Amino acid sequence: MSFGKNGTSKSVGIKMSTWTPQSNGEAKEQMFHERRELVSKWWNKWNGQQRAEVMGNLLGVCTNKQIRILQDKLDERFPSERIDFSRQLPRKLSLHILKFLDPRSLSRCAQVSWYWKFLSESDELWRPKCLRFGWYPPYKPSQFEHGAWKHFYILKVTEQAVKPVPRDIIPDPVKSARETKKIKKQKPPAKVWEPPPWRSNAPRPTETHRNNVLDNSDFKKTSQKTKKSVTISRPNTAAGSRYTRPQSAAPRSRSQSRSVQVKPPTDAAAYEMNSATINQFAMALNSSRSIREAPLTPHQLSLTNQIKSGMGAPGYGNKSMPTLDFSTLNMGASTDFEMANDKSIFLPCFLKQISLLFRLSTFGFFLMRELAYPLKKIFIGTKKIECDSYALIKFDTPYSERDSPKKFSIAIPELYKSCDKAAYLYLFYSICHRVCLFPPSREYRGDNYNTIYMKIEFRQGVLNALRAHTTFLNGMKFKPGDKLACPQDQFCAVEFEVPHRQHSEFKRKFKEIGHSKEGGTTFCDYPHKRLCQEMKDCLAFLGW
Amino acid sequence: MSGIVTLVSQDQQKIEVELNVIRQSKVISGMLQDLGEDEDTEYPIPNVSHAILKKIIEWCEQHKEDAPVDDEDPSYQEKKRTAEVPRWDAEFLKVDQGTLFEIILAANYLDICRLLDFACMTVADQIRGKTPEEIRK
Repeated sequence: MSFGKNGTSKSVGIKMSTWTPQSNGEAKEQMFHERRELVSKWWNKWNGQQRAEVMGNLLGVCTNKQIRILQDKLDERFPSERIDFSRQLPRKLSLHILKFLDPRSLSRCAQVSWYWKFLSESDELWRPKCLRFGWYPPYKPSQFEHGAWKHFYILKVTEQAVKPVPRDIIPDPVKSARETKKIKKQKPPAKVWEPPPWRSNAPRPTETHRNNVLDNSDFKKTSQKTKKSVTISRPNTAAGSRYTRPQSAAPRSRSQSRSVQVKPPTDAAAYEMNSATINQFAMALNSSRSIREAPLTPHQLSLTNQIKSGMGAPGYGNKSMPTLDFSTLNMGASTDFEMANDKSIFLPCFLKQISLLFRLSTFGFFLMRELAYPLKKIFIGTKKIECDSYALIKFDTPYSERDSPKKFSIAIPELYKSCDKAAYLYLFYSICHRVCLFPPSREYRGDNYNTIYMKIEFRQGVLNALRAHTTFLNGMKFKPGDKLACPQDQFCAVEFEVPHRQHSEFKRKFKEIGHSKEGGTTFCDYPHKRLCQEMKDCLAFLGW
Repeated sequence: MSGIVTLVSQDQQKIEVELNVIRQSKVISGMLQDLGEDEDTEYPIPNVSHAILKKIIEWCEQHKEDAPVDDEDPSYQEKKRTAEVPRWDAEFLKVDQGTLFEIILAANYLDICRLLDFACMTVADQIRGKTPEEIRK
């Protein structure tokens, strides 16, 4: 029963005065303070449950704006700790983060969620891991074959009988980083066979046999070897994995922290163990592997068979297998081209196709970075370049040239002329006539607006030069607006990934643009000095 | 060549930076080359908020003496794989995750590859050695 309420009702009811604390500013303030103190006094007396109840009630009557204020305060007090970065960052950056992880952590990440699985199995992560050991798959994985390099890595690792790796691939949550360190320290004396530490403290390992008599019943004939077979028959314990230590002591000690160092199997013999122990270990490992590893999927099985028999994948035909040299091809569907000279223009040919690579001007990629994330990276030789600073255009080579066995180079005078040292940054300007932004065509994108393209139109001179040397330009499949309908080879397109949260916005934007006649945003001939202004303009046009 | 550049962040606030400090950012230095270095030009950086931009400039000041690295250099790639985050950077990156991700985005946008690598390494270190259940949190 608050004092304020009583007072109010008294003054209204008895004296009939028009004065109330509500109408007087000062009194109102005072009343507010008194009531607040009162509430805080009550608050102190309530227990936890009551407080929670009151808070729930309060939240119920709060407006959205007040809740927003509350949220801000909460954020301030508890800085956000549990953000999923893959939702905040574009795919490229998420992959960049995952690149720093070792295979084991990656495999664990694959268990987190659907999207993480997709990310952590991508070839970009596993390809370098394979290449570092010089492992090349005997066929060329297609771009639709997700996780091919990971499968190959696992396969290779099992094939090479690198002992620590199967455990690394199978996530083993028991080991924390600290434990790993401990084991590292223990390593040097591990050359001599010791009883597994989890068994008992007694020096006589025979106890293990007695304790596990039930387990042993399956392995009667190996009863002399008892401790090995017995321990191995328990899957997935930390002990079980530690068991394999002596044989693989050297590789593992280095491999704990980051990634697996592969040692030739002969090194295992360097440790002075008698052959009986080694044999026992081999048996133990075999049996343990049969327990812990999931059976190979049909896909993996076929991979194994192909690798063993040295044949190409069924879809690719045998013809591709023996001649492919992956070190020069750089593995991948989009990377079948090479550096021709180091002047930042590449004129590689790949029998059926020539690819031209233009470095975009600062404007080009600066603008695109405003709008979108680069879609992917291209590898050229050992060089890695960002897609969004380059445009890649593919041409078909003339049929007459296709029979020549070797790669050939084509000099396109126009291009070379504009490619001298001083001007190479502005190659883009000299080539392009104008640039459009446009969404992908309907058949190409379905209903998604997660990519946009920057389209580059060539100048007539360049176009003629190109046409003189190639038959047909393999352009993008897009349906530009009415006015832009023109031969495909006048254009090239660069693909960009749109930030996730802007999908709907883009959809709206491009629908609006699509109704206009031009069918896209057009920019012409940029004077360098006015770059900033124009960029602002075009951003304003798109509403950013 | 000597001089001060004015950057305009997302919320239209201006920051003045020395030229040799901001050279770490390849995007900005590229832009300077293209535009010429006029004193009174303002460079809009519309993707980065004021607070983050300040943080990034702080990093650049610390690292302005460092030799520029070539991201495509194989020896740098190799070093990157094994290196640890230096102590100063580790302290610098001890921020809440929201800020950290914004730094990553900004560093990517401005093309400061070392800051990007350090920040990514920090995130990766948080993931490493955890079970899937722990990562989910």
